[in-house]
Amino acid sequence: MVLLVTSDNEQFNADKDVVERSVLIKNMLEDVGESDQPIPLPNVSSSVLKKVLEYCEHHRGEPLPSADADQSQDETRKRTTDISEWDQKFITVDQEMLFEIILAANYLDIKSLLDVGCKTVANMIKGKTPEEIRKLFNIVNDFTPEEEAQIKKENEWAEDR
Amino acid sequence: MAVNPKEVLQKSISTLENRRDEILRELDNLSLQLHNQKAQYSQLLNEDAPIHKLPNELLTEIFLDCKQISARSRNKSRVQIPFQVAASHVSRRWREAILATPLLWNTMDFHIRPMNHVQRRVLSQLGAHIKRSDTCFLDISLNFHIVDQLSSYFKLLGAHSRRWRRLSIVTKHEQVEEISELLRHAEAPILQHLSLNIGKPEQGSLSPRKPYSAIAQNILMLGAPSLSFLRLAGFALGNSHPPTCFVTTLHLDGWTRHYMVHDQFRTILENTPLLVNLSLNQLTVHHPRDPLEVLQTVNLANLRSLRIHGPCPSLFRLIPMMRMPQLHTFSLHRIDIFDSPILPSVQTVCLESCAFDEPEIENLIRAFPSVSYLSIDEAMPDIFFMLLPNSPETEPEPDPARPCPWPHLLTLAIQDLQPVDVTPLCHLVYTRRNGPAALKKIHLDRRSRTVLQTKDRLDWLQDQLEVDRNYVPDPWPAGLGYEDVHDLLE
Repeated sequence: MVLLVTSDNEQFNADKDVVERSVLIKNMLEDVGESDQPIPLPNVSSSVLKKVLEYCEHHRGEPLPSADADQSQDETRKRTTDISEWDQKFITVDQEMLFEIILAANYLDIKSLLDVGCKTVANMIKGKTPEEIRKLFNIVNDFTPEEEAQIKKENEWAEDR
Repeated sequence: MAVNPKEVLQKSISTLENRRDEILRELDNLSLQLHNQKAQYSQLLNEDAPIHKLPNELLTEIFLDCKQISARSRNKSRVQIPFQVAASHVSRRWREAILATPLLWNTMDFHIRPMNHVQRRVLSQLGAHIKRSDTCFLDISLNFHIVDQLSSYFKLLGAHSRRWRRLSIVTKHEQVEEISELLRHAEAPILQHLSLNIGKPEQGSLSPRKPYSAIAQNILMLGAPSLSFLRLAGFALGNSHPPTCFVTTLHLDGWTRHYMVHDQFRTILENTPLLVNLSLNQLTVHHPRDPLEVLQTVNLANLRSLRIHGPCPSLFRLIPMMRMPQLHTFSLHRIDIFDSPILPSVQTVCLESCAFDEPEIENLIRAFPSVSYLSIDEAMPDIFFMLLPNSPETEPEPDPARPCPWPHLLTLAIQDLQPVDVTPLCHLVYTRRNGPAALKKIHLDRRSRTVLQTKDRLDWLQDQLEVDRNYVPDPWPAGLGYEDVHDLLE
């Protein structure tokens, strides 16, 4: 078992083969060797780590992408834009949590979880106009008049397609 | 001295005008300042948006996923503006991230139609892609429906030929000269994929059929060291031929008014020594009239996959021209007559819209003795009877001399199964359920699955062998690794 300590000082006990889906934790464990020392995760809160561990637990035992994955493998990963049913359900959370999971996956270096998060956001953006995207993500138009003029010009491009 | 009231008024008017201009300028400045401060304030507000917690590298990762998704669903999208352009209009931060990511701009897919064609706009968009893609490789797909003004586009693209990775051009009209001009002396060291589909001539007599004029190398004269995929379609065939010494996938798409003489065909193949995948689409090859003339066979030592799309008037003379010891996959589309010498290495046979009757199917079974994978559609229902094993279950008096057809057949892939063919299919599966010639797996497309479900045979089938319910035929050739949108373009 491995003891993890979150940014809000909560402790989580998890199986080694579950937490080792995180390349960061795997490397840390390799560095410290056999030890009961807790692993601090200052960039991950307890609510997010709980979700991350749920993901790692579900995908326990699945092959990890190899460190020396070549470009073609990477392209294949990119091309597969589908998300499995379980992952879809897992990632159906509010936006705040969704982006926290993406950040945690990036920090902990869990490639497959990062993929699921990014693809989910990409699917949310798909087919929307700039105004619809702003509304979805609570963003406001912050362009200067000069930038607006350029954008107006670029909008003409749509008429030729 | 008397004061001239006119002059006084004129002076006063001038002063007032100057003041007004000054105030207007000041107002403009104020408006600009106001807009800028509002923009700054909005930027601060945006920092609180949850998505803006993501660093640029993750935003970019998301945008690259968006690019993949929008490429897959570009025809279904209700939004006409390209994804990267729309997303770059969301906020300043998004725009900065998108404009700084060349991989979001290096794919260009343009359909240039006469309706609403404003060249200035298209050129400006094309220019933006070229500039924003920086030094990145370019994947270009251009579909011209216009008659003239192509040279401006080609001039712009030609200046970046060293960055071309994939170049696909479709023209509706006969624009050989413009395309040759673009490609004749282009330096394209990383070009891997070249697809030219040039429209047919609009004027002049199209009859009688004529031989292709020339097949000698006349484009990419400076060499094409990376070119592995080549399609010459329509008027490109016989007019625009690049070096093919490194080509592994070759598409020759003919058209009805031209034919290739035997020697031309042989020369093309001989000049492509690394060929692995060969697709012949509506290609007419004329063979010598003298039946006693001995034709030289081309040795295609590496060929693994051959696809022939009809009409092809002389399949039985075409296939013997090629020696294909490694041929693994043989695909036929819209072919009505089949006769071929035995090709013992073929293990996968794919048939689409081939309405073969019994003698043709017998020829097929004889020609490919090692088949383990067969893909068929509704055009050939007799195959279910023809593949029945020679046993007391199927024949009252079995002929022991007749071997089981395709004894190595393990997998069937079926598209568009008709209700009337459900019983013959199930009968085939049942009679070949055991023994060395047993079927192991069946792939069903959506329609076939529904038909079997309607007839209450789907569950039964699943009890007999492994069933894949979501069969979608693989694009040709297998393992290409990217979408070839111009494959078999009508």
